[in-house]
Amino acid sequence: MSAAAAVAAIGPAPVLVDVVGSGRLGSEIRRLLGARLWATTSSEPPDAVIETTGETAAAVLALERVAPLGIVVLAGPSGATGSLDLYTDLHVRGLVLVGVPFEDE
Amino acid sequence: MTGGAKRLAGRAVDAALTRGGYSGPGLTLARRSVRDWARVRLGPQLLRGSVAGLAVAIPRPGRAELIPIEVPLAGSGEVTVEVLASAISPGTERAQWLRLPNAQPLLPFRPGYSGAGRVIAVGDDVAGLSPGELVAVPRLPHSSVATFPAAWAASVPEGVALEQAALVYLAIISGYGVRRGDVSPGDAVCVLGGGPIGALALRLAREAGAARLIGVGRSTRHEAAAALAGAEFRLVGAGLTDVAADVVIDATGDPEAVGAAVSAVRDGGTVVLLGSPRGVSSAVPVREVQERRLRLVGAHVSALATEAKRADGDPFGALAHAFLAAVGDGRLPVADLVGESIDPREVGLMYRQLAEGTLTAAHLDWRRLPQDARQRRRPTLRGPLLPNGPSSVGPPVRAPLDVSRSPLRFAVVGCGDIGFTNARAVARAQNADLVLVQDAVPALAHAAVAAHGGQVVASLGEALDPQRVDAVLLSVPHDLHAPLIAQAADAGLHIVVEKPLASDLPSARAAVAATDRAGVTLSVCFPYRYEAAPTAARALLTQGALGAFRGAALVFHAEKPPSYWQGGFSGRATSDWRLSRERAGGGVMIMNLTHHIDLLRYLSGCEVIEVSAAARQEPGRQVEDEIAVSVRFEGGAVGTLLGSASTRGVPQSRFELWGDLGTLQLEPEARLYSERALPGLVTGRWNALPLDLVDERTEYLERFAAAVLRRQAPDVTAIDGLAVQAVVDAVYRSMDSGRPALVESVQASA
Repeated sequence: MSAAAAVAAIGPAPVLVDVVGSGRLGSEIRRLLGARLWATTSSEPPDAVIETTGETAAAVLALERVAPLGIVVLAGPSGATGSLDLYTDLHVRGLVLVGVPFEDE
Repeated sequence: MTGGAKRLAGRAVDAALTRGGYSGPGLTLARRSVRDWARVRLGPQLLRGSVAGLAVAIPRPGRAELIPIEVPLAGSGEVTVEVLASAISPGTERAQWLRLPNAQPLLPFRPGYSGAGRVIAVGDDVAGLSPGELVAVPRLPHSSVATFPAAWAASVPEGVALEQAALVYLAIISGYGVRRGDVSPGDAVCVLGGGPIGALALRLAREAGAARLIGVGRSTRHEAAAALAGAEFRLVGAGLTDVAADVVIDATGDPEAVGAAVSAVRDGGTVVLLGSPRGVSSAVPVREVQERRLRLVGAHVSALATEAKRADGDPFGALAHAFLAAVGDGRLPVADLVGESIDPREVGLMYRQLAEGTLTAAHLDWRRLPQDARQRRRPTLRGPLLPNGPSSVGPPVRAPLDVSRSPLRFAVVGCGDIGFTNARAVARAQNADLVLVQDAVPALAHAAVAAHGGQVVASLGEALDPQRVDAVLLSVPHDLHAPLIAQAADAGLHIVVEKPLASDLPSARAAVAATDRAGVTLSVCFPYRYEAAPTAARALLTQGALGAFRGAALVFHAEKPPSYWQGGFSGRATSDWRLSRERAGGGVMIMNLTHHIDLLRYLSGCEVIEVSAAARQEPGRQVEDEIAVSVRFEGGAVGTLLGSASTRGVPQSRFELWGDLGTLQLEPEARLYSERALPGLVTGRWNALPLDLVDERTEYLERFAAAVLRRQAPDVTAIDGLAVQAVVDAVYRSMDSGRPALVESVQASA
């Protein structure tokens, strides 16, 4: 459920997506992405990043890695609140942060 | 030019600028001006010519000023515009001024956002624009002229005021936020932040078809702006969970507002971060964003620039044209958002008010500058226009003296140190005659007559003869002032007394009472008022050049030789009265600083109400050589007065007076700095005050004589003399007691 919702949150556009996290959720998302999975050897940053670890630091890293105007999907088991520099991390680069409820599948 | 030649030229420029007095940020700005000039004049644009104007610059934190600029006339693909209005972006420019997080541009910095003006030149290959046309221009620094890509310019529809068109970039920013929120017809849209960006976002959301609008602001003053968008209004902190908007646009710039924004959006809705957060958000509700499937969208205008690079179209132009069209056909009211019209010369003051929160919306109206200052064509090669060095205020203009009446006939009593000088001033005055001269030492009287004219008389009684003279000028030891004033008043003569009015306040009051009874005019000789710089300063201060008076600092240095105490500076009259507290009233305070106290009162328009003094005196003298006084003025201003009669080497004295809008310095330099735009002043720069040589004593006496002849009050009245005397007495009371003294208490007990 979480994996499908996370992929759907990116939308149908042909973007390359990176996935953070090596757990079951991350693996399922990678499987669903197929050819849309961003290659780590690519010289271009990913258009979208799906974060599955739930760590705030990983979310910040995802925001830093994604291309300008890109999308970061939070799909992992997150904490209640986090400290973010919304100007640098999100605002000035025109990023979109999308929340997807975490469900342990 | 080779690299080596460039370095040599750079060094030569730096040397010339340093010689010209430029340093620090001023040197950087000046160097940039020279470089721009060189680029214009020495490059391929030489044939095009250039246009000179003014621009706002922030050379260092807390300072804004107008600097001369010179821009090349439009080349290929460019347009040159005479800017008539430039909009202030209150949130961003306030943040830049305060150097808040995420708003710390490198200094020196040229601020500005958006403007509108008249096209004065277009490049050869530019279609659709012609000179004379009115255009709105986003991304424009605050300047009176600018050359930029023609694609930036958007024609201003007929009937749209230029200051409204100047909001174009703010509208682009707000419009981009609405677009990033994917606002659709029928949506409920909530906007946090009541500033111009927030107000525009509300109105543009309505344009996009939003069915329900909610504006949230910090104060009810934002309610009217929300109402113009057809929005309901809520105050911050009122609770927003019931709003359940499809889209929430955060235009606050507050990093902690994201929590309120999230609380106002429906599940699955979108939160647009439109205002730049000035810091780190400590508690982003990440779990709520996830569990409620929210979208947080960054909408900084630089992201629009990224879009523009990727897209074929011109998203800036599309938003600008949409804004201007909506304003032009009346769908988008913005008249309430243009704010106060600010004279660009007062930009420093404007930024401070913006920082203090006393100004929330404004635009710079460049039309308030003289035409030749805001736009001058420079078609021919000439030298660079450097940032202004000190300018100069013209000499004071005085009313012409009426010499048609008979002159006022004077007796001069006392021909020692200052008496001799006073006799000369009477002789020089166009409306006064030096008739009689008297001194207890006849030789002194004869010397004065030999030098300046008049007739020596042997006794005081003869000098105070109302048949022969109309007025008397007294230059005698301080303890003789009061009794001689009373005697002259009894004789029916008008009186000028060398400062101070008397040796103490009770004596001064007795003297004034005598003149009041006799119905004669009494004036104290305070001639410093008539020097060129104080006269010019006073004229500017009465126009508000310094704003509200805040403080004064004064240091007077003299080195009185041992012989002074026996015969004054000239040694013409031997007497030790200056050593005696009883006879002189005191030392450097009453002898010298009385001039400065009068000048402080004259310039500030405020009375001293409290003093605290400490002094030092030489063994064998009863009067102080050094005195330090802290003073408090009515209205709350404070000051310090430091006087010395024994400073070796006699360093330059200081006289400074300042308010919330400017500073006046009379010594060591005569100059004035003001944030107000006043005729004859360069705002935000030190303006040299005139130093023309003025015979201030003669000027003072001529004006006294003119007043008496017209039966008017003199410039310096007995009230002035009493006010200064009261301060002096308070200073000595404090000095003697070691405690602060209220002038009012001294007056009450005198």
